[in-house]
Amino acid sequence: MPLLKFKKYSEEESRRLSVSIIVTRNCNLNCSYCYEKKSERNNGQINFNVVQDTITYYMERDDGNEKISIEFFGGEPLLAFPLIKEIVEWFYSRTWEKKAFLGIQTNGTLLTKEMKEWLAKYSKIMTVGFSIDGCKEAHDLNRNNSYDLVYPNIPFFRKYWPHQPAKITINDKTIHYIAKSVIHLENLKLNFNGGLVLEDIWGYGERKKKLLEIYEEQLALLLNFYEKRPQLYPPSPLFAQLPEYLGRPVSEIEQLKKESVRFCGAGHEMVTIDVDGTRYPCHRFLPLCTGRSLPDSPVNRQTGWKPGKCSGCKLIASCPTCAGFNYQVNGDTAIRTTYHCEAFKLGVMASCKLEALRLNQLSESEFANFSEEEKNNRRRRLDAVIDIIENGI
Amino acid sequence: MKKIIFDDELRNSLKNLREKLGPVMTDESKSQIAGGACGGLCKITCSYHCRADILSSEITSVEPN
Repeated sequence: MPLLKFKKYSEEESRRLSVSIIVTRNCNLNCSYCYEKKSERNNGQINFNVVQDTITYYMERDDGNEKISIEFFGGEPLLAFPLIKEIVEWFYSRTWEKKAFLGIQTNGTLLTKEMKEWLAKYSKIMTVGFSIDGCKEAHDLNRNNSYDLVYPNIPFFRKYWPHQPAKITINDKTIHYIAKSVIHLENLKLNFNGGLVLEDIWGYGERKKKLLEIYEEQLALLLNFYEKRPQLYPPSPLFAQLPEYLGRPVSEIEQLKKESVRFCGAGHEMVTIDVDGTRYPCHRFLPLCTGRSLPDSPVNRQTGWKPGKCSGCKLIASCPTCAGFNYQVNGDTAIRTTYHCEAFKLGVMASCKLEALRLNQLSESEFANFSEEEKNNRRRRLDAVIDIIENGI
Repeated sequence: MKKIIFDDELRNSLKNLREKLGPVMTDESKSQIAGGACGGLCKITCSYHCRADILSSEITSVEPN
């Protein structure tokens, strides 16, 4: 019986430098949850020479990174398709010592026959990811009624980049469509990932209570779906990662939390180049997103755990946080936003329940045939589940 | 309304199972925390981890020319 599976990132992978290039700020959509400010959008596209200089700098710099991923971002990057084409063809026309991987993150609405032919030609050396928010009703609510533009392109994405997860984003408008959306994407046989936005979609009082009830109900519906389909893995972080240290003594957890890595690579293994060539720690730090200039203090050095309620939480090491959004809201990358706190805990409970149901089907004879590593994995997961059931979060 | 509930039968069954499986033999917990802390949510807000799956599984064998 397969357990919940979440991608683990090795030290080697985390040493890869990620360079995001905002090829254009323009976008043909106006998604309701987009963190880019509309008023900043129409500032043209990046200059080809700026991209050349940027890529050459990072490809030739002696910085210990043997691998670099270069991502074309927006806005909607395919609005600058001729430029992307020119960049990619230049890039692969010469030899580099470092290994590089290219990618495009698109809303999937603008693909033409010409684009598809060109992207297919480069599909082994460049990935293309797209966004779809689940069922048509949910997608259209937040993404400008664009489902019918994306849907015909799904076979193309699935054929050439079957491992690249599509992005599903959920907010308060679509929370009651979660189960329908996730099941829809499963039925489309898409690899997908994503979840609730970090922004304050919850409000307070009765509104918050009602939204959380809806969220829990949707998770319960999905529990039912995934329980009956053990070959499928539910998307994270909708089903939040269940930290396997939960069964450990508190003193050990405290030590492990101190040793845990930064949450993301912003300002370290990541850099984003805006259309004017300015460098930022990541996309989320662009003034286009934060409405602020860059922070004076070192970015994304999460040496402490703030606010106070987070420092006492046993989920601190696995709870999502965004340095850029923290900076936007709190003026400090290390002070976490906590709007998603209760919802994340519900996600952990759902994950815990599904894990419990799957573990509970484990027979002694099946266990006996596991390797020592697999045995320990099951023991530790079971410890984590029992810890949550008995002690709560 | 559907809720996420752990009934007594499931609780007891899990505890019994845990007893049968014996103690954890080695300490793997550090690597469990260090990896995958994002849980995927960053896929909404940034592309840092977004490419990791594809990079590690599909393209690493292909050298740019």
